[in-house]
Amino acid sequence: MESTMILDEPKAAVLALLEHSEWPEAGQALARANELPIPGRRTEQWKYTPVAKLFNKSYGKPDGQVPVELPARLPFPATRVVFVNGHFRADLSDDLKTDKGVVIDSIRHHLSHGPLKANYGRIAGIGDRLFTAMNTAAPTDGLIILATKGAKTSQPVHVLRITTAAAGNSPMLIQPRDLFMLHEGASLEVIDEHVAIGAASASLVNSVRESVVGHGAELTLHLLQNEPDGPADIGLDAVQVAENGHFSVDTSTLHGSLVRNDITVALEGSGAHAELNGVYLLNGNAHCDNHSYIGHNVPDCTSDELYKGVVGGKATGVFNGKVYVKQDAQRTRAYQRNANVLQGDLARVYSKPELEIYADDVKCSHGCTIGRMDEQAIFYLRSRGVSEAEAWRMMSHAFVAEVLERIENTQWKEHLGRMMDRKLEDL
Amino acid sequence: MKITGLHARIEDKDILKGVDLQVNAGEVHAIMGPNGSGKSTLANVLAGRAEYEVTAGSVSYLGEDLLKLAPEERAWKGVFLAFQYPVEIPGVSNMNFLRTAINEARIARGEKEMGGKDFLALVRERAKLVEMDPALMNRNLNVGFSGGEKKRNEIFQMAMLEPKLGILDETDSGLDIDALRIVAGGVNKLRSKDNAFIVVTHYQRLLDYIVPDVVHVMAEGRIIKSGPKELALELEEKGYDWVKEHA
Repeated sequence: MESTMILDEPKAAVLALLEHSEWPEAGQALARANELPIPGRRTEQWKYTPVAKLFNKSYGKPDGQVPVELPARLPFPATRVVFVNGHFRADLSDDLKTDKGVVIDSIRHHLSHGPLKANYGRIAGIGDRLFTAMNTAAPTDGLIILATKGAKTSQPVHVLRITTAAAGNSPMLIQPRDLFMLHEGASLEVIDEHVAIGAASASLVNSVRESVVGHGAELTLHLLQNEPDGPADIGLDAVQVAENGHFSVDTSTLHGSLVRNDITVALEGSGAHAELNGVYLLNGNAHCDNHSYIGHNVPDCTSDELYKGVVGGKATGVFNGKVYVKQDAQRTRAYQRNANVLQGDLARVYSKPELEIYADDVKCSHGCTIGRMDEQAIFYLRSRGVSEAEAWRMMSHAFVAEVLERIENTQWKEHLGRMMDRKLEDL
Repeated sequence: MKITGLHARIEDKDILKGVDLQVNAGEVHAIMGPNGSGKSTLANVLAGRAEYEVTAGSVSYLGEDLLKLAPEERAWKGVFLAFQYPVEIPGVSNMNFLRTAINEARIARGEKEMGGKDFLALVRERAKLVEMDPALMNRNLNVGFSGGEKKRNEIFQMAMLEPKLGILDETDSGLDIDALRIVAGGVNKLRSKDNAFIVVTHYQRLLDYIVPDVVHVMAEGRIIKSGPKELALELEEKGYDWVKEHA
């Protein structure tokens, strides 16, 4: 009987896992998940990122209590928060009550609190995104950060999300759900690192994070996907920025079997600014899809996007950047660029800028390039005695350095630079 | 180094049509000739540029088949090409790149890598040779350099790498007289009985400063005349057509 069911409704087995959840709005979300089709080749937003195969597996519930050996700490001070298979691990995390006016905790402890209720599910509306419906129907756990008026963290928060399984374990469906709220003038910097240990490659991590950046507040996110043989990693960052608020994110993908990063930013108050940066270094069969949407909904907002990738092997890079400028969003400034270097004959890149502008007094630009490494430059370096492989690495590093240069936190920038150099050794 | 019957082409165009040339240690050879005669092609073929296909002939360098070596291997064995158009490489710092180049060569020769301190001392010393502004050292490779600064940087790199065979491909083009004097002065200070230089140039002017032992005239992919340094003056006076007629 069950196999017939799967044929009739390929999502059924997966959605069955999401029943009886007590999270806010879970029932409606599950109903919506049942209605929404699995995005396929004909769904514009998912055209180059095939996800149907993710629904052909029988997932189990993730176990958060498995023993795990933590990776080395970052080479600079940070407050570490550890999630194992989506579950918060207080025993592995640092003391989180360090800064006045800042709450950092498992979101589970706050489901009935007023601040959560005011924002939860409001920034990342389900719309027709199946993965958001699934996440909302039954989150595993997640991180809540609440920064009150003028509050600042003394050091970055390092969220370490480990997906781990022993060989022979069934794949897991892990659904992290975060909520960051920054009140007026607050400032928060978060490093969100995804790592995989052991046999995690068949699992699916489906994350949703909502962030509210208040008046004059500043949120900086550093996302790092460093998951060799890792799970499919599908995530949505939905961000709302108020007047003079500042949101910046850098997304670095060094490994990933199937990575999809959705970032949706709504600029809702004049003077709001969004900066989106990304680097992807892909080889083997890696697949990375960066999808962004920036809504300029009011006048006098600015946004700037720069994504760069080096794609080799049989890997695929996808970029889709939409900038939407509402009719009365005058004096909008929006810049976007995506540049790619292909290595070898089997690597693929799909790049699509989308500008939709209804205001008349705007400055917007976009550009995308897909090319090969500059042969003249490589020859120049080699003629001085730099080996071909090293010349290629130097050029690759130089190519993505432009993105790194935009990162203000120099410690993170240097750490990332070193990790990228190591990755380039394999490319 | 001995070049024998060298033929080379780019895409389907034959450019070198049988070049013969022997350069011994301690010598400076000038190669002159009109545009399109194959001077720059010869320089680039010797450095190992892949766009040029060698169709016949041989180049023996210190007893080895030079044409079989990758560009970096040639560099490790002491071949250096100063580019006519030095490439700008954003994101690669002048210093980092040079240190990598020097140390890769040292590793290839089985020598110890040069430490940071020694490297910096050498940089300071050699930068003086070409009166190079130290501020340029930490900049990205040739990015935002003026034409003269780029050429000085080429000679500076040559001074750092201490080649056995330095090939200067129209290093004088685009230089004013002061820059020309500085660049030539740098080369002269590097001259020794153990190394050799090939100076490719369109004009006699450079040879007032870098005095060659032999002058060769190239035309239509061949060396058509060789002679002492006075040949350059004669060329300047009478033009290339005169040589072609009397070759």
